Amino acid sequence: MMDLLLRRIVATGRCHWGDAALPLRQGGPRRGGFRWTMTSDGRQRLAIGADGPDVEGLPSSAPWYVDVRSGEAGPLDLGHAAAMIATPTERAAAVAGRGDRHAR
Amino acid sequence: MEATVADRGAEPYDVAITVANGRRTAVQVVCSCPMSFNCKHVAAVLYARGDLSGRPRVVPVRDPLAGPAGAWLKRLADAAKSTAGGAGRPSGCLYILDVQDKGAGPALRISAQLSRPKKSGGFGKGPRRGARTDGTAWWHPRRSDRKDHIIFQLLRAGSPYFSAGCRPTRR
Repeated sequence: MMDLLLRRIVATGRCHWGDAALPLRQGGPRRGGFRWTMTSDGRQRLAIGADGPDVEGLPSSAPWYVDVRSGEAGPLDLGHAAAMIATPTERAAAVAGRGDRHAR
Repeated sequence: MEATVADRGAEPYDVAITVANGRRTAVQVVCSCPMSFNCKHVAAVLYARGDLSGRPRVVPVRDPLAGPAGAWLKRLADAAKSTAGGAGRPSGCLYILDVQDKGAGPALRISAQLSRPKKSGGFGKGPRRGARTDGTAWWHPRRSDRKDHIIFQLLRAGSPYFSAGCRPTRR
């Protein structure tokens, strides 16, 4: 679902990464992997990372990257099945949504 | 009464009208157009009957949009273009990707906003409001095209805050 959504959004030519002036364009698949990152409260969190400088992995159920320098965005090849990748990120999103509802 | 009526197509249509006067006036009409009868070609012949003088003639069908109605439609289209943007390009949805962390870890956020084209190229960025994957707002742009509608449907379907049959959350 997220992969299809991102493809359609980038295809419009009206998709921007943050405050970048130029719109993103569809790029080919690139290599990426899982990395442990530290959160502000000191906990470790599994995140998707992309190889190369100025290339950011998008924290979503679909592994995608954004190359800030070239303005390309596309899918990341993590070497794992899509279902295995989606499960932890979707579970994290569901937990985040539940927490927000309790906070209201 | 027989007549040939010119329409927009290359070939004119043949119209035959028979009027029988008895206790009641019976009118039989046949036209070679796809309608076969009671069509605008028959009406054109009946309107022009006074000028026929018994001789077949070509009766041009007047374009209904050639007069004031057509001029009004053109002015309306020009006005719509002028309000759509200075460069004459239509407004469109601008999609912004960024990462947001609400405490449960970073998550991709997709925001959509209505934007207008800049004269120098590209689209201008206005205040961020619209549909977001984090469910913080919901706003459906009226001036979106078919592609944007599909994207908004996918946004709604992919968000953990929205589900089928559920009204979008407003804040």
